[in-house]
Amino acid sequence: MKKRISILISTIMILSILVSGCSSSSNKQNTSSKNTTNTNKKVTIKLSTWAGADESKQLQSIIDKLNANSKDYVIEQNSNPADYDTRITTQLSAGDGGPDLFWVSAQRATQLAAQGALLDITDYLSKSSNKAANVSDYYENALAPFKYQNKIYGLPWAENPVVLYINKDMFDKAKIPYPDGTWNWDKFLSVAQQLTVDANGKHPGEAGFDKNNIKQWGFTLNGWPPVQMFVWQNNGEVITPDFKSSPIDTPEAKKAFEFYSELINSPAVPSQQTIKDQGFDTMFKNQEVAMFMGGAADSLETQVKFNCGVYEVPSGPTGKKVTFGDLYGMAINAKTKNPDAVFKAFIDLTNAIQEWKVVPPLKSEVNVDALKKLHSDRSTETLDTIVKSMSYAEGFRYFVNYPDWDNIFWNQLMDPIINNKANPDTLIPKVKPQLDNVLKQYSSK
Amino acid sequence: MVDILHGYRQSNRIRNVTKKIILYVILSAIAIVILMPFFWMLSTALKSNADIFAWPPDFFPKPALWGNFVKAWHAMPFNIYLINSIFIVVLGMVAEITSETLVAYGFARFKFPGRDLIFFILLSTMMLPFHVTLIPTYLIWQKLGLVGQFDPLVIRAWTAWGPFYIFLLRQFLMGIPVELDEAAEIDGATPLQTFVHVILPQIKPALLAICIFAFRGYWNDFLGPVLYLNDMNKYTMTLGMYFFMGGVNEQPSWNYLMAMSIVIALPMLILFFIAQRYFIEGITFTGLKE
Repeated sequence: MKKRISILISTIMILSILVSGCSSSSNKQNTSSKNTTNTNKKVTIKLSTWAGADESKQLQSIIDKLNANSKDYVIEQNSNPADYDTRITTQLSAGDGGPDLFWVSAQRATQLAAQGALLDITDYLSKSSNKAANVSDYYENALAPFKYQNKIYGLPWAENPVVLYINKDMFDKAKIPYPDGTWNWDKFLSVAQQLTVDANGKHPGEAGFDKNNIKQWGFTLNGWPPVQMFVWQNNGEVITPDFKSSPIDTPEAKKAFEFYSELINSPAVPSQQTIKDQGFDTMFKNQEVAMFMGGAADSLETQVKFNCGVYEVPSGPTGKKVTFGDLYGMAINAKTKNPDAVFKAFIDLTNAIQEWKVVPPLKSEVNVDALKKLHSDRSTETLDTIVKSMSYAEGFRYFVNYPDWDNIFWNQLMDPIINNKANPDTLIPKVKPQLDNVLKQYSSK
Repeated sequence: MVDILHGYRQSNRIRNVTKKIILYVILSAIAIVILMPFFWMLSTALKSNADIFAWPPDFFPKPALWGNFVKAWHAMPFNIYLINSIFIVVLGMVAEITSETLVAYGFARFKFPGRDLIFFILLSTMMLPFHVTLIPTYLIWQKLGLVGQFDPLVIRAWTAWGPFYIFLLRQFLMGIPVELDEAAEIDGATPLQTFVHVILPQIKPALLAICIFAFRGYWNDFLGPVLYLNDMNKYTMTLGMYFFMGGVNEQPSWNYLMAMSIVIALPMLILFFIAQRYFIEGITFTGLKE
């Protein structure tokens, strides 16, 4: 009996010590951060990112340099690729206590700016002498998602345009010349077919070709690269510049959807089930697919064992060159307590990480010489392709209800085309009114 | 006669053996199916990142890269993450079990106005999806100035926040004869003394089951830490593991991810095997035998 009482008492005591220790340690930390603010006049700035294991270390070394050089701020990194969107939206909606600075995707930037969660940095930018604050140096398409009603709410720090990675060994074996910048859709599809080989060494279209026993495919796609890229290449649009309608039923757009569907159903492209089983980019890396469209930043050519080249994506039937460029940006929490110091950290960090990844979204930085200095592991030819691709890269037209629009576009149109071999011509008239409806709701606001 | 009996016994034995063989074959097949994901996880953890997607898959990688476990552990400061995890698990478990046992005791033994209504409300909170309470709870902790500390993850457990465990304990307590309490009362015990000396020893199996549940909950908790901990030095094991999911254009390190998944699953497995008997008993045992 006594033993039990003593166990209980000791448990309670340990508990109370631990809990009080817990709260006193938090008090200590609060005071210590206050002390640093007073003595060194440095503001602690919390930065949230989705950097991975290696990236968070690289980022930390960039931050360490900035912190050492700054009299105004100390940036504290809080990186985690896990559930980034849930984390950021919850923390922002709760006001202070969230991060001061954070990475933001182009899609989220538009949405968060409209909701008032991002700090308007237009005036700060015009007053700053930092290279990254020179708004006119940014590619227009790269800055667009961070603008809302003519105000700027964040800056992009990297753009990732889609390029064409090819397995040169397979081209050599088939005696096909590498892409020369003049390829259009027809040429691309015919090369893809020539690079497709069945177990008997026959190509699609030849007598005796066994489409159920293909050993090597010419190309692969599974919703990526986005169909929008092909629509733009054919002078079409999926959302008009005034955000009033989705002209997916124009002959230009329709032709692009049909081409996409033709690729999906072509023997030159693995079935969606095969792609799911064996991995999308993995099939290219494992030399089962000859051509792959990927982001320039993915640097696949440095990761594979075969001879891999980086080329521009093919142009549309009329020769129009467009590629899709994904954007990574950074923004400031509208509720931050020290906007001046946070802006200084923001602009210094933006400037620093623009030199970190391929490709900086700045016109002055996108040339082979400048990129070569930053990314010596990529060949001159590769960087040349990247520079050319940046000149015609476009992004999605994001707006506040974009997730609703995208939901319909993907589930009602693209998913059936990709996974059920649906005919785009029969789907487009059904889906267009729904897409237009989302845009109507948005523009009536 | 003896021969007939002997033959009968023998055929009976053969029948029994055949029955067992069939049973074990079926059981083994099911066990293999269930263990397959774990085996795949282990096999992936021992491969180089380049070999993971090799087709057809190679289940016995040669050479087996046991060093992946060490490399993964050192790729991020997992020593700190482990200490943080243990800190939260121990404090959270103690808090949760203490508070919930007391609350369950109250519901099971005391009559007070509105008791059933309160219990009903308590149970109905189980129906609320966590999304509903996510932001309000965050706001409360933020107003208290405790976001970024371990406090939201630990102190919340003092509020007896697990309605399911309270329900489980209450049902268990209802099965214990009130006569025991009354006997203690006659001997002059206060309700707290009765609780400690009479009730607690009786509900050990249930407490142990809840211990394991709670351990699993805190050890595997991901959403709590990801929301409330915004300092990388306070990260837990589950958060640390996610660094291997890739980043901006960092490729996911599946082998490290699987290696750390095994490390994280290990304490759970060990605990379950040790406490298996009590664990099952705690769930199925609903009352004292009359």
